Amino acid sequence: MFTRCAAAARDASLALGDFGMFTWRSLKTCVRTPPRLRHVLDQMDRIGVDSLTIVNVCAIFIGIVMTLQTALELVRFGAHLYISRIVGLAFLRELGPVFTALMISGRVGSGIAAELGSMQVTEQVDALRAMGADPLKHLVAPRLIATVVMVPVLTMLADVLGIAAGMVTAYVALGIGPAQYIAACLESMVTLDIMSGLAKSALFGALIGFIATYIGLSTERATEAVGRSTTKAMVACAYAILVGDFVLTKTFFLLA
Amino acid sequence: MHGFRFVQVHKSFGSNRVLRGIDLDVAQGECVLIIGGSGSGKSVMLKLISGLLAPDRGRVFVWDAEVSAMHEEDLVPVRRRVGMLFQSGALFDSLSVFENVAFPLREQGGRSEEEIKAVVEEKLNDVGLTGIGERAPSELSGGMRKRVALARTIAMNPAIILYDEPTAGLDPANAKRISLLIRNLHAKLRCTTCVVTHDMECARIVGGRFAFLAGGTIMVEGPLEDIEKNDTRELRAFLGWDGGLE
Repeated sequence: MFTRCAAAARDASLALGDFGMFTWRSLKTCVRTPPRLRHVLDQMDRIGVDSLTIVNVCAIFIGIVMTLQTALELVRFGAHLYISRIVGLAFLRELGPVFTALMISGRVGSGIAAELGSMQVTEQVDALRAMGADPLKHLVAPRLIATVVMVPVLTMLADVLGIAAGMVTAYVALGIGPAQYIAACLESMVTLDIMSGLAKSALFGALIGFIATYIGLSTERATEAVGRSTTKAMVACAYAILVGDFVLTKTFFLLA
Repeated sequence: MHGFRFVQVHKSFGSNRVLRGIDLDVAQGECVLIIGGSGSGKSVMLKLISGLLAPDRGRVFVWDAEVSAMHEEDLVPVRRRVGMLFQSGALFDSLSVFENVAFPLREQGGRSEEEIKAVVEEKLNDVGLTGIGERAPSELSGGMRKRVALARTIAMNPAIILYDEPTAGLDPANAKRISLLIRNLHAKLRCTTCVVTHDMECARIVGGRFAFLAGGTIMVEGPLEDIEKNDTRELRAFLGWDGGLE
C-alpha cells in the first residue's frame, strides 16, 4: 500500500515537473519563434467562433435561471431591485469566466487533445520533428495563443448575454424595467470586477491550452490512448479551472 | 565518407531490450536494406539516425556529427538533410497535398512562392503524381499517400533518405511501384538510402547491401546472394525457409 502510494506520488511529481518544463518551453517558443499569423487565426476561428453557440446558449440559460432563482428569495423581502446587482456581479466575477472556460474545456480542450493525440499515433508529430520543424511552434503555440485570446472574448460575450437574459427575465417575470435593471447593474460594478473576470478567463484559456496540448502530445502510440487522452484532458482542464478560480478569487479579494 | 554509423548502440523500452550492441557503417551514397521480423528494432534504428530517439548506450553518427549526443535544436540542420518516409506516410491531414510537399520548403525558408510551387510540382512529377496538389490526403489511396509522402521527403533534396516499411499495407502492384521508385530515386539522387522492410520482394527490387537484424544485433550482413546462402537459423526462419510453417 505504502509502496503504491509512494510510486503514485513519484509519478505525479515527475509528470508535474515534465508539465512545468513543457509550459516553460512553450512560452519560450511563443516569444522567440512565434507561429504564423494564419495558423493562429485558424485556431481562433476553430476555438472561438465555433464555440459561440454553446457558450452563448449556456450564458443565456444561466442568466434566466439565475434571475428566477434569485428573484424567488429576494421578492419575499421586497429586495427585487438587487436582482440585477447580484446577477451582474455573479456573471462578471464567476459565472461568465468559469462556465465559459468549462464549456471551452469540454468542447475545445478535449478536441485539441484528440487531434494532437491522433497526430502522435499516426507519426505526424515525428514527421514534423524529422523535417526539422518544432512541434511546439506549429502545434502548441497557435492553440495556446488562440485559447488565451478567445476565452476572454467569449467570456465578455457570455457576460453581456447572461446579464441581458437576466434583464429580459426580470422584465417579463417581475416587471422590472430594463433601464432600472441596467442602472442598478452598472452602479454595483467596479473596474476590478471586470478586470478580475477577464484576468481569470485569460488564465483559464492558458490552462486549457497548456493542459490539452500537453496531454495530446503525451499520447501513447495506441488508438485507445487517443480516447484516454481526450477524457483526461477534459477532466484535467476542469480541475485546473476550479482550482485556478479559487486561487484567483482569493488573490483578488486580497488585492481589493 | 560515412553516410551514417552505429557504434555499439543499445536501446530498450522498459524491460524490452530492442537493440543490443548494433554496429553498422554505411558509406555516403550507399544503399542499405535492414531486414528483420516485426518488433526486431528496424524502425528504432531509423529513428536513432534522425535523432527522434536517443540510444541508451553507444553512439550514432550522421556524416561526422554525433546525433546521439545532440540537443533537439542542434539536430535541426542535420534533419533538414535527412529525409524520412514514415510507415504510415504521416501526411498532415489538415493540409492539402501541395501544402504537405511544400511544408519542409517553407519551414526552411529562403524560397519565393513561385520557387516552392515549381519544386512541389517537380517532386510530385518525380513520384508520378501530377495535378493532385489541391486534394486532401484523405481523398488519396494508400499507394498515393505513400508517394505524396515520398515527394515531401525528397522535396529538400536530402543527402540521406530513410524508408520505414515503404510497402507496408500496399497491394502487390503498388508495393512494386514504390520499390521501383525507391530504386530509381537512389540512382537519380545518388543519396545514401536506408530501407527498413520485412518485404523481401521490395528488398530484392531495391537491391544493395543487406543487414539482417535479429535478437537486437545485426546477425548477417552482405549482398542478397550471401543472405540467401546463409544458413543461420533466425534468418532462415525469417525467410520462411525453416519449414516451420509446415
